[in-house]
Amino acid sequence: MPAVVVPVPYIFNAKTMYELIAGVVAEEFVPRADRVVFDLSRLRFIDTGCVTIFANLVEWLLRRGVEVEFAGCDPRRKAISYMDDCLFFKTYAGSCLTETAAPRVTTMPFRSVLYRESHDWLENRFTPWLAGVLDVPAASLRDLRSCIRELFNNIDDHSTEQVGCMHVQWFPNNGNIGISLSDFGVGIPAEMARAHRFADDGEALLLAAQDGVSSKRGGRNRGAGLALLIDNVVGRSSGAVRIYSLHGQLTCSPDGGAISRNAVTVPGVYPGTLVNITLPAERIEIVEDEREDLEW
Amino acid sequence: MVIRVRDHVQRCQSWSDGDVIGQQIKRVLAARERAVVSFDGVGDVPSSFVNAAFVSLLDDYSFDFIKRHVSVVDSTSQINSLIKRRLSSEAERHLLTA
Repeated sequence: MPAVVVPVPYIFNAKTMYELIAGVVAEEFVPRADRVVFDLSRLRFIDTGCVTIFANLVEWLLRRGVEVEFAGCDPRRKAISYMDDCLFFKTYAGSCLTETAAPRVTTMPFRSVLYRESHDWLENRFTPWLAGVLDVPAASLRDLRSCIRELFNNIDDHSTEQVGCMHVQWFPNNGNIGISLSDFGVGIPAEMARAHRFADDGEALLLAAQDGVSSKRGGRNRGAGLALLIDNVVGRSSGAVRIYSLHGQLTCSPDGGAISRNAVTVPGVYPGTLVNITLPAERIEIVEDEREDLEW
Repeated sequence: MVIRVRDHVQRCQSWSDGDVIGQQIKRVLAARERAVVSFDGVGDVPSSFVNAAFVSLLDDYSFDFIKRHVSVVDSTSQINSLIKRRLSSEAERHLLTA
């Protein structure tokens, strides 16, 4: 199988990611070639969540024995410099592009986290880092952390790979925290199809986000995870949750006092699931580590 | 009888972790004792853990019985609100399907 050269889009965001993925993943969810060269010479902007996608895509190829190379990596371009600071090239090309490349204060660079390591990673890496950046007590992040636990449990339940790629970005300019978690499992619509009927992948995501709808008949986890995530992030904190899985996209955003859920089905395919969370930091309730008893 | 969660599981992350605690609670209730579940040293839990530890009790006991015989102490607002939410929601579902 000859090598393929895949151009990375000029603007790499959730809309353009499909063309990049289609360049390397064939319809049957197998690599298009034994050797892939990502050409970054056109890239001028990369959405922070797309660093996760790119990293996960490379991981997916490497796990299938594909040789991966990068071309057109000029660190004078901001997008490339950002990826370099996220240690993308150090991780996948062997070394950073520049000697000064280092994670920025506002970035917790993408990292592949195995499910079995996710508890310790959330407790000992994610929480101290975000509490430090936001200057809040670690106890204030319990609700958010439990939401991420829900996503890792979904990966454990539904993904054959049992590994998620996570990237966290603090945007001081607009006060938002951006969290991306991606896996290349079978995808939510494929899982949902085992127990439900639906018209398309967008409708499958809408169904999966309902409280009490599980992808498994009589499932142990009872389908509460995604609903809790959306309630916590969107309903209580006025943030946004965007889910991309196979041909489906679901956007959950605040709409007055309610939650707007907009599901669409697109021609492109995301092999697995990507969850992007946007959370206004000001909505994080500052709490100290106070213990309490449950009152029924 | 006090069941200190951390004495039985290393972490409160999965359905399996919660199932260990659920079995402990069921053992205590079967002995006609009151179960006091302590979350000393635990900050937050996901729904899978709560489903296995607490919601599974609805298979054998009513929500009212659980409220009278199971206490949760040394916990956090995240843990308590999730336990209440999940149990209320599933108890309602049990009633509708009964």
